[in-house]
Amino acid sequence: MSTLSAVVGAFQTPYSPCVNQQSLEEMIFAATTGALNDAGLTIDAIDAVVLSVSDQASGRIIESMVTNGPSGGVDRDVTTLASSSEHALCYANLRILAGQSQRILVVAWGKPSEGVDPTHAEILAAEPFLLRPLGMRAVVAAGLQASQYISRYPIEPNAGTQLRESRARASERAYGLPEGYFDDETSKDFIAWPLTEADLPRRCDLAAAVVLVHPDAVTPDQTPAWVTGIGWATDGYEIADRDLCELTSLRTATATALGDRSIEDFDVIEMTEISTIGSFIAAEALGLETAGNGSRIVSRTAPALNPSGGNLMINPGNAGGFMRMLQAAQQIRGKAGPVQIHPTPGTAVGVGSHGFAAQGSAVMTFSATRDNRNEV
Amino acid sequence: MMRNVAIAGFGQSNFVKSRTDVTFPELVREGATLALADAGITSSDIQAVVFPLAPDALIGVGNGERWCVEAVGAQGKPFMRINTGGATGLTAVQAAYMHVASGLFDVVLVAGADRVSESKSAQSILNKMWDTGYERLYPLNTITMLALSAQRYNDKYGATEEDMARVTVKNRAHASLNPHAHLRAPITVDDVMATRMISWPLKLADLCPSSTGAASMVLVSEEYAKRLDRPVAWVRGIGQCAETIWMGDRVGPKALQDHGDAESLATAIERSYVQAGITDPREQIDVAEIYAPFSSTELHVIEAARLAPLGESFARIAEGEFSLGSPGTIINPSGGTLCTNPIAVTGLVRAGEVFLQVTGCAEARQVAGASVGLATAIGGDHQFYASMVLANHLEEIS
Repeated sequence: MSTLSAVVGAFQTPYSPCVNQQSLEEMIFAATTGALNDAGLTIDAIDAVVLSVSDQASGRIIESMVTNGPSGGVDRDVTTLASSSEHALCYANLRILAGQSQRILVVAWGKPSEGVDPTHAEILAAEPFLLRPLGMRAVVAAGLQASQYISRYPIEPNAGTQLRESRARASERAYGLPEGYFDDETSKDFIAWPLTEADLPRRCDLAAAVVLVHPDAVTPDQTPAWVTGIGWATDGYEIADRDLCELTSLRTATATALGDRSIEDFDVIEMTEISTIGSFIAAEALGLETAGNGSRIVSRTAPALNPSGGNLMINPGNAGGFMRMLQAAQQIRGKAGPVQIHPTPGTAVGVGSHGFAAQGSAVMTFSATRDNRNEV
Repeated sequence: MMRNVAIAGFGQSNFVKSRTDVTFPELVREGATLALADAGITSSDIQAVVFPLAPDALIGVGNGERWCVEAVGAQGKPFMRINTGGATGLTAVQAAYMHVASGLFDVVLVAGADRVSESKSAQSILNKMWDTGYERLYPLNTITMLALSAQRYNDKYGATEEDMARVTVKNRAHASLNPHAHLRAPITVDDVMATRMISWPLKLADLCPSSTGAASMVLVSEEYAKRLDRPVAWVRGIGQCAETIWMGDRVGPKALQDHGDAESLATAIERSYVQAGITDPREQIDVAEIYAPFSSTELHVIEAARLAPLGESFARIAEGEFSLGSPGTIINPSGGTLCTNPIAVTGLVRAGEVFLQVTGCAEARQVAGASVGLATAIGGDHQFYASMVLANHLEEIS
């Protein structure tokens, strides 16, 4: 283990399925100022801004143009990552390791409520010759993955329901919502067999920011979550060529980020769940469960898995993976609010996934203690 | 600069209006194959891939980079996409630099492509860059946006449309020597002046084409470079800077920056100069590939790079400076963005052309004795700026 960087500030806007009292720019400004306040810094201390964008979800052609200002990017070094929000954090780490930055503001957001038809926008992510005419989109890919899994492995009929219940209660606690808030009537019809609406992430509006700094730039008054590992990888695009039960990109990213550590060594895991069954598959790729036994995570108590509720109930689109990293760091910093684990965890893992059936993945590990032995 | 990073290979297709013989991933693969061959390595040697892709809408596929993973051999590897508009290509090279300089990687591929003309309405798409409630409605596009800048520059410094035309003449002459350039036919000032007005003072021949093609580059660590049997270009300095989206905040008494100049670009370039030890660019920079999609843009970019004092670039061009064969810094020997603009990789081609120049591989467009070069790029509504200084050595730049 070595220390790569540190999260010293983080902020996310409140949960809402539809923010109609703030523009996207205002939400982003709230997130960036909140993260800076949390770090005890002003924008003058920031030497680079890294943004995560999704043009097709936003409907803006170069989304970073309008979001750069409220992110503090004017007159600063700004880089925009468009492949996924978790990549923005990986890239910020690279900048620090390369000696090009000391303090970076990393910003991600999702405001799907502004979209006329977010589902249609998703279809545009399919190439136009084969997959788009078939209607391929995120939920269809998740359905194909889930169907492949249940045809290969028997799972308890209510495992998905149990997982959803667990995530709903945790999300209600995390975001100060009344118990039962997420128990509204969801359709029992299949959206993409074997998945129903209840098995899939629920969209919401949210903006978030993280202040990531060089280890030597951490000040005594700050509460750091030390970044001790990063890894990211992609699988192929052609969904028919992949074993959707394997998530090779997540396996590779996990191996890179964890090094010689075991996933069981960590106290907390915050991971992207593209569906209930997709969560079981991801748990296997992480090494938490053996093949076919991913559904056992519903009864696991350690490591704590998605104490924030994850993204099944609170899914800000492109910012989903970023939020997993943020929540993992906040547990280490003792700043996870109502879902803070006690005693404060010493180690945590954040896992983000993106693309059809989690084509790509990224993993970051965090620690409460700094390890000086192998610092770059 | 903690770890030395070198460019060890570059490949580019011949840029044209459209390609009907390849899909987008096939086009990307074309560029990647050329770069790998140039570096003398294979895709199995690549440890990570950075993909430059600017507006998704220009190729009509959201997150089109994911479609190209197999084409660039990235399965099972770290892979990320950059989008800073027109600056994307050079920002992606900078991102690849970060990969190697971080110490986590030794060999990184940058691979991308664009097919701008095939969107059928690039300027309509680019109008959607601006905010929905205010400036999008004017309607702005990249031509009208920079026409405003040209008006401002000409008014401020006394440049004329003929001065702008001379930029086109210079770059077309250079492009005629570059087999990869899109617009290669030489042109005269009278020819330029005779083309139709698009948005005053910009006429058709003052504008870049909408290009289709691919470009790719291999970046390696110093240790890895020593194992390659080929000349390399060292990344000596990098810089970026962004400014406001708001066009209205670039003019008037409360302007944040002057739309006639390129002050944020100057900041980005200066950051790269400081890292490279460049104090007198007119003496230290042999060749510059500067991102200027319109003739008028090149004037203030030359000045932002301190290759001419403010308001003097057009007079220098009229005297024959910056052209191949003239003394001093040669600007855009490839013909530049004005002759070839595949948006997602235009900035990458700028760095690639400097790489070719400082390694002595630029063939008919070679600048004699070039050892230090500058590459720049511009994205958004003249909002995102990137700069990179390359040299064929690691010694102090004199």
